[in-house]
Amino acid sequence: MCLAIPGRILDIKDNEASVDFGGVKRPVRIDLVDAKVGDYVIVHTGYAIEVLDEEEALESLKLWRQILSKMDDDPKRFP
Amino acid sequence: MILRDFRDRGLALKASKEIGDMASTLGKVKIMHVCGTHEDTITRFGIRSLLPENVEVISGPGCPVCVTTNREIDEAISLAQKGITVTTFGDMLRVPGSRSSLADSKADGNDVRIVYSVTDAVEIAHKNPEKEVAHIAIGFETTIPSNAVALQDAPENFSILCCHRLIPPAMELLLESHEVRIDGFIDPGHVSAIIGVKPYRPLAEKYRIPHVIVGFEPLDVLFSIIMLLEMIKNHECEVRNEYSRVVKEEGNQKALSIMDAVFEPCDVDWRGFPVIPRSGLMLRERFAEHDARERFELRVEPTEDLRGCRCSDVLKGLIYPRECPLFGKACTPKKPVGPCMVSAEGACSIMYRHTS
Ligand code: SF4
Repeated sequence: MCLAIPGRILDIKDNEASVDFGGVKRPVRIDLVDAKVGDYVIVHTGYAIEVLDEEEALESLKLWRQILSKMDDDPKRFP
Repeated sequence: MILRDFRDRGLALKASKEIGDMASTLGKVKIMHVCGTHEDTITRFGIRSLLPENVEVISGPGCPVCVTTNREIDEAISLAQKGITVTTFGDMLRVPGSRSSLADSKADGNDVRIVYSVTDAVEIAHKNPEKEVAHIAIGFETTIPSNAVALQDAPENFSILCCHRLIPPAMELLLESHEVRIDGFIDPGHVSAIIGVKPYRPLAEKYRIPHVIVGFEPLDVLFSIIMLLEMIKNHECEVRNEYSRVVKEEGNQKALSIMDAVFEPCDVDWRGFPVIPRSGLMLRERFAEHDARERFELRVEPTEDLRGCRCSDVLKGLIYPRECPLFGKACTPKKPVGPCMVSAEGACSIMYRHTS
């Protein structure tokens, strides 16, 4: 029920956006967010509930890669 | 897109190795999540098989369809029997009430329609001004704001049967009851997108349990387990945010204020749980005419329990679905006995689909 999927806003008219979900276009209400064309939004039952911060996503992945590879290199951790 | 990277197998294996390493210094660890979508990620990607024996992830009351009570299903059926057009998300259709389901009611010729969004339900009301349309409003904080938006300019013939519930009070009840041991919480990412990080803090502090707010890709879940194990190891009881690409500290203020304008908290029972203080919502006075319970004077008979179904224990994290004697035998998605086997987000249905 709380399933929500990301899609990219193609176009906005009033409180409705046209959102691209990997090639499938659907209308999405954007009353609950401040979003602009090009943003990724998280969509739940026809409403965008939040904007996805792409930079933050990349940043957190980069961090995890670093953390986990350090562990790999540490001979004490994985004998 | 970037999200594919959150499924990176190599990184997942590294994470799982790290979890194993961290867990080897700890005793038994029991982590609970409270979201059907997390259960889906965990089961679908076989995450439990990547965990060491002493780390267990159990599922709690995280499926809005499943925690809806027989009383509410009976109320929805009684609306349909009164000749009102009832709109519902598809998952609710086959959930058994005391004696029958909305699907049975539809088969009897009543006007029960599946919608994908509350917007569709309002649209039906607009197009049929001669009809009364009642929407079965289920869902947690993720879903509530959209219903609040819809109610703000809903037509006169539109009402809702409010079955909304709030997650943090249910987590608190679980902790208070001490029925199940919980060493850490995987907090629901999309509920948190609305409510933010703050509401979990008093829980973390009072019950001395670490929380991590988590996204829905397999790596999100694995990373969160590392974060939890680290806090458990260091005896820290904080709320950390793994899903920072979506969840902000203060949540979605716009959604919260719309929600607050339309609804106010009330006490309500959940399937498997007693009445939980301030865990439900009711419409504020200003929207009372859109309250289906008042509008149609719904009074349902005392309800009956579903015989043999152990959904209550599944929802409290006391048993895995397989431990229910009816699982896969008398109870399958084709012939569900309890709601946990009906809903796509129900733990029984998820386990059946991914393992049978
Ligand atoms: S397997 Fe069926 S009967 Fe058993 S707890 Fe799950 S839904 Fe209820």
